[in-house]
Amino acid sequence: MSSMKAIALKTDFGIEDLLKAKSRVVFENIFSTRHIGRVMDFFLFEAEPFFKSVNDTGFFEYRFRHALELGIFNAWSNYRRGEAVKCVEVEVGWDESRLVLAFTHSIDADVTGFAPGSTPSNETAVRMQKMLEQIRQLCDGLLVRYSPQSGRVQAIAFLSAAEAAAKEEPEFLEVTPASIEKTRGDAVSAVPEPLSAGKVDAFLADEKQDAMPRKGARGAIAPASGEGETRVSGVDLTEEDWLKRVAGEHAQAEGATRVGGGKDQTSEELVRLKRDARISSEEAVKIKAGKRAEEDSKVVISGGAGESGELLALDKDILPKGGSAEGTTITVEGEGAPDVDEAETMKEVEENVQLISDSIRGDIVAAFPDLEADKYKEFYRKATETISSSYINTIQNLKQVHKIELEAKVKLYKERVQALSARIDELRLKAGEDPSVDREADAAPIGEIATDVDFDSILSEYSRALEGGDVPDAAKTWARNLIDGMKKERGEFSHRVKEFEAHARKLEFDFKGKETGMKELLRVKDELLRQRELTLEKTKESLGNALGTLEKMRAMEKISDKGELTGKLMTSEKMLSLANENAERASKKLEETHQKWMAELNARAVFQKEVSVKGRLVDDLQRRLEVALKSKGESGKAGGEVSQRVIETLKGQNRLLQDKLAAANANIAKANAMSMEAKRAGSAGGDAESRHKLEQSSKLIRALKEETERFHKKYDEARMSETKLRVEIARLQAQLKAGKR
Amino acid sequence: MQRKRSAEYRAPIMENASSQTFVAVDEASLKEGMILDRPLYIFLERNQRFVRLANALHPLEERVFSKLRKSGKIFSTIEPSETRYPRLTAAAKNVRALCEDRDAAPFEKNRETRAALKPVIEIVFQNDADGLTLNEPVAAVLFMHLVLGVPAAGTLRCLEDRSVEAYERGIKCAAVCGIFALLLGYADTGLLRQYISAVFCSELHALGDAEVSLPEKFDVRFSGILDGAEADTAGASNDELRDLMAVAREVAAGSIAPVTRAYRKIRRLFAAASAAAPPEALGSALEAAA
Repeated sequence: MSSMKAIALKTDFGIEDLLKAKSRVVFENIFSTRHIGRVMDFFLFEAEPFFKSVNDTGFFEYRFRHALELGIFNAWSNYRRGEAVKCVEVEVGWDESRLVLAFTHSIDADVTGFAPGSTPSNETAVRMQKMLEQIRQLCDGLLVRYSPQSGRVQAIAFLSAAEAAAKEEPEFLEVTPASIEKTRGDAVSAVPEPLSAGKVDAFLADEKQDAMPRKGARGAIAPASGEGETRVSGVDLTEEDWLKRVAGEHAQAEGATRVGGGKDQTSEELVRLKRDARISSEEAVKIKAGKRAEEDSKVVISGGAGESGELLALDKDILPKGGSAEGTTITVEGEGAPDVDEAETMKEVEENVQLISDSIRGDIVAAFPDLEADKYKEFYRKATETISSSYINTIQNLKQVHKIELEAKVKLYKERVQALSARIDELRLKAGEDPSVDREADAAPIGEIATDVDFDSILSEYSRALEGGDVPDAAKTWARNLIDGMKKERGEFSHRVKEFEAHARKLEFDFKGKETGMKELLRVKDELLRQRELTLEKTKESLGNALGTLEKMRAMEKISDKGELTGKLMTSEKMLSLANENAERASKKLEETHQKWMAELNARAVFQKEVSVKGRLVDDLQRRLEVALKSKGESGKAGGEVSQRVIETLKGQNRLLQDKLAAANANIAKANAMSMEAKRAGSAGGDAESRHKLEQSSKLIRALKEETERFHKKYDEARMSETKLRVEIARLQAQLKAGKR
Repeated sequence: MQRKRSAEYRAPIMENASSQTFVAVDEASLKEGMILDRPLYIFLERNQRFVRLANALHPLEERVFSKLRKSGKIFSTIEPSETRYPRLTAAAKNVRALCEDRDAAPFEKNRETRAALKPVIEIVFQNDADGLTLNEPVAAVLFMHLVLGVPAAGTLRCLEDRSVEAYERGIKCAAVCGIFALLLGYADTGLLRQYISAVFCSELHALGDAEVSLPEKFDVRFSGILDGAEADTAGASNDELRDLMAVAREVAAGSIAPVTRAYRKIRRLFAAASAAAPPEALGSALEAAA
């Protein structure tokens, strides 16, 4: 990384110089977090050649996606305050050995110390540091470039293609315009191009293809694991796709799937497929998987054309358990419309399982950093399988329960509707109608109801008879009044019936509306409940499974390595106790030595002090003697010479003592240095070495002690000589005084 | 602030009608404050002369506009931009719509924007082995004004009052910067408006008048462009948009642009654009050659 650091310091905010010659760099400016998912997908799509070269593509993709997401959100959430527009510049580059991600954004001037390991200045810096730390954990290396002048930060994350790449420490660079030497890039280094210059059409087509099962109800196939139920809902696929999906890995594994179609079909290998996604009961699909499918079994496909009884003859391996008996026909009730929700739910389930397993994967990596690659993969595979199966089972059970509940509710509502209909009939009866009259006829206008009776024609006939016949006028008038009254009553009755019908219809409509509303409400509540239950179950299941798997893994680890581990543990404990004892002994010895040295040092200091006092006294005496000699003249010449000799002798002794003292000091310093070395090496080095050094130190101390004793003796002698000298001087002074007098 | 108008710009220039061809300008197509894509004249019948009242690339001031309206006969020596650059207006409309589209993913948006910019690039620039050359500065300015409506008329007048030369230099540079930024995927109208205004006003700052109050609001990001536009060496600013400005300044001035990282990116995109030139462009080029 150090070479990278040097390059990064000298170049501007680009990553192409950090990659080898044959590399590619794409960039994207992000102004909104809305489409980050698609942008990440496209980055992944563009970097596909690199991903193919990686061993564990799934895990690498997980790291890539997570790091990219973290980097973008780090830049977005910690962007400089007050900016009307946020622009996060993302760059992704790769060569044959590594993939580099870079996120550039602007920060406030007061945000400092955000690099991992530094002391953050404020909350934003803390947040940035945490996110950068997370990126560092995901990647093999992290380099943070910061330009204090422009306030721009670039986090560069490295992902190595090698599986066992060592993680490098994060590095922080403060880039200044002065430090930048290279702004042109080499002729061989890649020129960054916008992400949109990539294969957008291919990506969109790929995206569309991925989205097909989600959008269309048909073609969604549950995983044909052999343990779960194999379901084929609709066939809105091409022949090839459909066959691939149905036969799946089974056919590939067998290597003997013979699919007849079109001109190649034989009597034995008959495949009838239709591109319009409709398989009727007559259109049987037969797929024979070599020798194993001697007799065709029949599976009914639900959904599809909305007909029940659609037959599909499949390889026995694909059939669900319990449904693979020879010649058995499993009839699944046709649901009419394709089961869109189910397909989407299953897709979501798969995605959720993938998400959970991914999150567990990260936790496993963090929890067991030293786990071997094979064991880790096995563990992850088992965990994913367990989670997936339990999750799907739970959801299917919940769906069943939900369906039963829904059916019960519908039944209840139907009963209520029937009860209300009966009540309406009763009301009609009370109103004088025949409840047996067809409801459709009831709903018709009153004139149409009475077509069989045709009161109008009868009354007009009566009127004509009255006019034409020999009827008295009074009778005519009576009859006419009667007919008019009848007509009037009939009109009134029709009006009332109409009103009643309108009222009944209104009631029915209201009821139906309420029913629909209640159903909708119930559906929404059920959905909410279901989602909550699902979430709860999902969480519980995932946690339980993860814990169970962890326990199993631990138990497995314990069982397999128990003997070896016990041996290792015992050996380690022994070695540890021995090391502890040695360390204790060494520390005791060191302490003793240290105390002795301290005592010696104190004594030396006292001795030095006394020597210096003595030196001063000697100087003073010499000075006095010179004065005395001058004043005494010839008379004191003889005594002065004696004194001079004595003083010179004393001086010589004093010099000798000082030399020895200096030598002793040098020895003590040497011993000190040695003891420090012994102390340092004591913790890391072996016991024998420490012992040897301690012995050496003790010898040295003994020698020093003896020498100090010798010095003490000499010092005493010097003091005695001094006393004698003083006496002599006093005597001389007395003589001088006497001479003056 | 006292307005200091440069004499060569403000004094009406008498033109001889016999030496030039004049076309009538529809008064309805003019609006106060708009950036003019061509010079405007009025005809003095008594003198039988055309008098130029407004220059191309300058905002149409209220005073001039009222004079033009009063005259009733407005002329120009150049055809309207819609006639001269028929594809430019449509391209501007497309680019604006794309920039404001929030539903498309950035890469989809950028791809469409680049495709929409192709006719603009063909009109505005000349890309050859020697480098990029600005062929039609008026088209560039007009395009950016149609797309973003920047720099605002107030800003334009502010700089125009200070120096016509700096004004014209700044507006060309800002337009080229805008096109480059769009090519590099800075397809956000908010950012582009700030950026282009900042580039334009950097010329004003370069004049050294600290008392000038800018009519535009700037975000912190572009304060660096204003503060150290002249002092910074190209490529050492650690900000791509600032590097882009250095490149655009040279391209707009007709000199050789520094080969910075931003320049390399731009050249690559230009190369890609010319490699994937539509057949119609090729056809028009052949026609022109014929």
